[in-house]
Amino acid sequence: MVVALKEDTHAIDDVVVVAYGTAKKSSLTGAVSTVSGEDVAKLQVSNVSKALEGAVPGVQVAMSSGQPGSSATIRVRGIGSINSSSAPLYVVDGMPYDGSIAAINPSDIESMTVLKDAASTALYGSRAANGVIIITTKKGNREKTKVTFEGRVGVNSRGISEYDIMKDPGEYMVTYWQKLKNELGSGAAASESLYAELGYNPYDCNNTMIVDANGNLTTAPLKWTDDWEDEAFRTGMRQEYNVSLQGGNDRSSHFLSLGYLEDEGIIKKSDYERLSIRANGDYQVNDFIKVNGSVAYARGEMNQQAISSLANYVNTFMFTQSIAPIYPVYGYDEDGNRVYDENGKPVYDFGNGEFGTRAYASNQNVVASDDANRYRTLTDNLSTRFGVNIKFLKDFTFAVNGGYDLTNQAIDRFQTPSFGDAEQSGGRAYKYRTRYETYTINELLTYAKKFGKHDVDVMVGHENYNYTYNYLYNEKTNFFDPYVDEFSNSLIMGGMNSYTQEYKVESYMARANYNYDERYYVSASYRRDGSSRFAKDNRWGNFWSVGASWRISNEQFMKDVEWVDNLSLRASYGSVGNDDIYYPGSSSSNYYAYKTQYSVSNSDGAASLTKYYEGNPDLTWETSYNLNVGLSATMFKNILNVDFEYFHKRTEDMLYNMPQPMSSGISSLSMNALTMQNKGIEFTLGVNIPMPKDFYWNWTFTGTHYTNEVLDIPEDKREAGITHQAYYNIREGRSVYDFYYYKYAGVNENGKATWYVDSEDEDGNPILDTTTDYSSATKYYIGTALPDFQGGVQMEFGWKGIDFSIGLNYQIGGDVYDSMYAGFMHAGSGAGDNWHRDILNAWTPENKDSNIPVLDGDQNANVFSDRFLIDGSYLNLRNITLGYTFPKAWMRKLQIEKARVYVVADNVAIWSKRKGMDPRQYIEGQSAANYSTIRTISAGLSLTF
Amino acid sequence: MKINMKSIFGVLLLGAAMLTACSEDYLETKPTHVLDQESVNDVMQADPAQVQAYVTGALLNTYCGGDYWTSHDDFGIPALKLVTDLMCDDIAYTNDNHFFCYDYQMDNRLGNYRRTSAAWNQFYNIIDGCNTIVTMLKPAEGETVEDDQIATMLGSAYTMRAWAYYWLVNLWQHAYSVNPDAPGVPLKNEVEYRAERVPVKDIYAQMTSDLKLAYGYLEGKGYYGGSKGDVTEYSAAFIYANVLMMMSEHEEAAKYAEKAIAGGSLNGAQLMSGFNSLDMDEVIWGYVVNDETTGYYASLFSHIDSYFIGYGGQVGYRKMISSELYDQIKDTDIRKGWFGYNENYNLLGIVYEYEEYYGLTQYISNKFRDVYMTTMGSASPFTSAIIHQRIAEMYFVAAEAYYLAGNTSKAQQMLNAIMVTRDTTYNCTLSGQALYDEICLQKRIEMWEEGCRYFDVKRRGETIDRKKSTNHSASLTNFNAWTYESTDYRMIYRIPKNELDNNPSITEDNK
Repeated sequence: MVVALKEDTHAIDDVVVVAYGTAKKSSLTGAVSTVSGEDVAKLQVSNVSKALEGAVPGVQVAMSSGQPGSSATIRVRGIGSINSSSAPLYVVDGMPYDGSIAAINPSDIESMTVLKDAASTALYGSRAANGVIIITTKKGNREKTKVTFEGRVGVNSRGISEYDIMKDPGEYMVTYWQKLKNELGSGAAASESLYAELGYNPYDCNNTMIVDANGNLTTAPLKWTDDWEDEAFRTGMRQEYNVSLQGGNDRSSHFLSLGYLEDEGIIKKSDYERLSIRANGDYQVNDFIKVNGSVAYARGEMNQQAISSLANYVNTFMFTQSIAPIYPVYGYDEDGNRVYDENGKPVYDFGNGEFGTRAYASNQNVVASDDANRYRTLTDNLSTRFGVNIKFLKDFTFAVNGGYDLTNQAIDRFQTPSFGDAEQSGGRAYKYRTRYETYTINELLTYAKKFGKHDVDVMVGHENYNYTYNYLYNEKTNFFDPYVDEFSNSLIMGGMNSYTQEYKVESYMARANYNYDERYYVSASYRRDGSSRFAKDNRWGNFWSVGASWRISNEQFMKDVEWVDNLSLRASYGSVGNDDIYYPGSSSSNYYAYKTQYSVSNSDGAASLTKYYEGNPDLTWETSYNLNVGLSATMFKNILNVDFEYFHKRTEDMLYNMPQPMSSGISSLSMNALTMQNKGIEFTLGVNIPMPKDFYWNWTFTGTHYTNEVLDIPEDKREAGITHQAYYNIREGRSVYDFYYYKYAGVNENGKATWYVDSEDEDGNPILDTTTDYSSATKYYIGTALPDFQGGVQMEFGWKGIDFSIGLNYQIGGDVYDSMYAGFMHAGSGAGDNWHRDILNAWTPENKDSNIPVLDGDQNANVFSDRFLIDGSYLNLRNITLGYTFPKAWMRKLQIEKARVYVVADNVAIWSKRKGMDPRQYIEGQSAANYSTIRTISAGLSLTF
Repeated sequence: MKINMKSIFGVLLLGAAMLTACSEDYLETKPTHVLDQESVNDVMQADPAQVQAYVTGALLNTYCGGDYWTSHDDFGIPALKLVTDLMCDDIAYTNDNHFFCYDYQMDNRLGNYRRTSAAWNQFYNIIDGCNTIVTMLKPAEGETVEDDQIATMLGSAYTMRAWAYYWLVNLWQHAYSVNPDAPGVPLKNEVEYRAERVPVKDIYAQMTSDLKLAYGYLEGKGYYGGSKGDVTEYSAAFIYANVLMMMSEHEEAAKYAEKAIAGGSLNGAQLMSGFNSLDMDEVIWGYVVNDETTGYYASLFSHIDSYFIGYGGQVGYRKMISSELYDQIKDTDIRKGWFGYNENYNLLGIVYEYEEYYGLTQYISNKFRDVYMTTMGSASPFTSAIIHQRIAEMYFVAAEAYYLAGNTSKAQQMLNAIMVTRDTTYNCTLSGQALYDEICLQKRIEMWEEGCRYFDVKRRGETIDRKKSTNHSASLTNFNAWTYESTDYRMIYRIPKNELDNNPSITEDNK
């Protein structure tokens, strides 16, 4: 199931990486998809998790943040858990990997394999409930030493534009005047109050004359025309260089690579730099002992802005759009001249009274704070693997493998003393020092033998996994020198904390594979896991799977069916577990969920003890039962390749923080409470169009459709359901991601917003009524965050040395609650808050057909309702590559085996329902002002010696 | 068969590896970012005095707790004191788009709003902490508590629990005098959990029982720990006096008010100090805030200091005194100095453009000034202490109680005792309704923005009339709350949505 088909793809029986080993693709009984290293390298991703976007069926990839180096959110076959982690398990070179994903250099990757069903994942038992992503790095080469150089340089720009917000101060002023007129009842009063409400007058006119009593804007010239977007955004540079060496002889092989990446973001102090080195080798000691090992180190330095939520005034993506266009970025004097400091630098305006008192975000200026604050994460990531294989008694192999991953992270945050939140504290710095450490050791005994047409392969093993996390945090304030953000330069201790988290798993496992004559395959696996997250009596879980495959094309009766190259039918069933429960209301793991926990804090010098978490000793594993049925076919001499899968994943005993009435003393109690299912289909269709000599042209289509349904919740909650994240409702027969909230009914005769409410007529019959009091409105199912269909299209074309490819991905259906847009559609309740230009069509006595409420300052006019749900369908032009490989004859003279030049563009364009809103970023259906996707256009050179 | 030595080695290695399957201890881990119950129990077993940490935890919860700092208008009981004041007539708040504006507009009371759930969660958090303490320390039936330390811990827990119920029952139901049988709030103590809306009178029964016990445990111990940060006999008496007032038990109320008064002394010279320290002689209970516990912008002084960097100051969302009340303060009264723009305090050079434009500068508050400002920057910003209780309130409670009990001379005596420290020319000889009105008026002035007005309005059944002032905001869109009864539906909250959703015993919500 190789996704991208190359012109030379004849090897349909590829070897793929599976749990604890490799297997021939044709022998698989489960659902496995692979992305080749070449396809990963083609994309300009600084974090390999982003390479899966649109590439693998059944895998949803949300590009939550465009910050260079940041990870994508990945969900395999639906969102499988609710209050526990839905993230897949990463396995790098055979061992579970908890290190930094950003530390893995994409050009070191040989392949990425996604394991989706139980037959494939059950051997990873614990933590495999949400799928497994296996990353295999490049290895040595036993034939010929090969040196490869890759370099590419390009530019980064904003991939998603602003919303269609007001950019013209006059437009804003007139609209705000209209709101005041509606509110105060007279145009004259509105003109009088306009300046007092907003605090700024960008026009060279009297403050009460900005808009006259008839609603006409002044003709006076503007005193400033600062554009927040222009000032805050920039074009970044991206450059990447990799050198690698693959070599070896008949007894050993080795691989060495060195990589450097510099990826500048589109706002100030936002970038990612990585230096990585990787070395691995294997050595055949004698006929029966073989050793292998690898060491990879990466230094990552990420600078970012503290973009976390819509309410955060240092969020550049929110601030620059939400601030009314009447406010300047810089300070201006009475006459409209820009004010400069003694060094000749323009002085920023903070709206704090110095130049005026801004109604929006006083004492904040995102252009200034992006520059002055610091949020740097320095990561040292070390990942090592070691293994010994001993063959004995002919058919047995005993292997011991160890993996040790270490991530040291130093996070330095600094808030300037010069202005903003930390001004009166004299500046504030936070420093976090964290260390994540994982070791995994397993011992595997394998027996493999062929008896005639019978092929048997049995494995038993044992594994220990140990994760330790050390945390140290300090905060100090009062900085003497405003530009040195070290504690040596600061006076007052603000806070300090440290702790260690530990998590351990012990496992026993067994697997058996059997095939008869490469026609009938069966497999079974079993794993028993003990997790330190659960109490002694509840910590062991048993996971298992069975699978079978029938390779129809190898049957005698298919011999004469020439057009079928390969045909196989597969089915599997089994279980996998999840123990990663979160603390209530958060997404941080609770490693001690069975214990009641107290936090100790300092209250004026005395120890204070408050309950932090109510433990539940009965807590145990969440288990998913997966059914998978698949069909693979290759036809017409490899012209057509089809993979089709049906899956049904049922998650039982879901780890859930069940809300409790607060009057009982606790707000929630963790329990194994719900049952949910995800079922659907996925496919890959490859077409190699027959072409004349020197040409190739192939297409790959992938697609996924799935549904989510809650099957069982506690009896006392059945009728009303369980409110989930405010706008969803967990109820039997519905999806967890169905929006359950108010339904907008347009405006009434006075232009006030109304919502639907269930009511009764005089005879007591139920009728649908409307209300202007949204709190008394009825909640309905108004949409779903889950898409109907998702997929990707990959096209590759070549002629002689020229190669050209296009990658697309798309989504059909699924709603997104557009929080940003809802905010922009306020009815004037936020003085100084910008509007979307759709507001120009708001209801007025002259414009009664509008369904946008009258601008009268009503805070509830734009509350959460289906009015702001928008279809999340999109088509994304993910990647375009055009390359030219120089003829070999020319290169030979230069001692070069292969040379290719290319240009490549990523995130080229997206078509979606509303300008400014990127549905790809919000997997759970609610938009926020996340860091926009970056468009990257580069030119590159690749040389092999 | 030839046996290969290497194979034997392999088999042995395998056997060894399999046997190294770790002991059960391997999977035993212990949290360190928090303490598990076992560790807490061990600490307390070794030193029972450490139970005090639970008491301190409950004390801390009065200041934060609940949904602590999830938003900058959420900082525990101090925030709710401001909120309830804003729901009445003495604070004019002219901004319609910032923190607390919907409280002022009587529109922050629905079950799905943060305000209602934050308040509810806060008080039930305190109650849960107090229940734990009582469970641990309560003497067995028929036994008494000999140890002073245990007695003070128990006294603290009972006091705080009663205080939490006092807030809950008043925020979610009209005053006791309106209908003692009205549905109140769920009741949880160390013995039982009544999840339904327990009648108001039952909540009062719990409070009076708790406060009697608390006072008994604390009586005679004075400031046993030497700190006004602890619950003492004075603070228990203080709350008890207010509860008794609600129940119209005036003689008892006067008695406990005077017991509370014994904890401090009046000092007119400290009235302009900024109300940011427990060192004020009038303060009997509060919470000391430091660099670690401050919420910075999410703190009381951020919202009420007119001269500092916070929301109420530099950011521009000022809470001013209503003109009606301001006009009734005599010029000879020190408290007149609590109001009116004073450039000596304007150390940051804030421009009061809005107030100047609309002629409102005389209503700007000087009463609360952050300790950073009053110490000229030697204290950290927003580390002002939080004053929970000040004996001035008890003088007025005593005066009102004596008046209502028919004792005019004692009422005059209490009133004059405090007022003479505010205004040296003061001497009240009024009687009858005029005396009562004077007591009520002076209490409004004295306790401005300290969280008293709401309870008094409810208790006395007053009608709020914001039209009496010229500076209540006329321009606010949805501001229909000009004149309303104390029993107006907007004076109480609706049950938080989360509670309604998960507590099937609650069948009835407020309007």
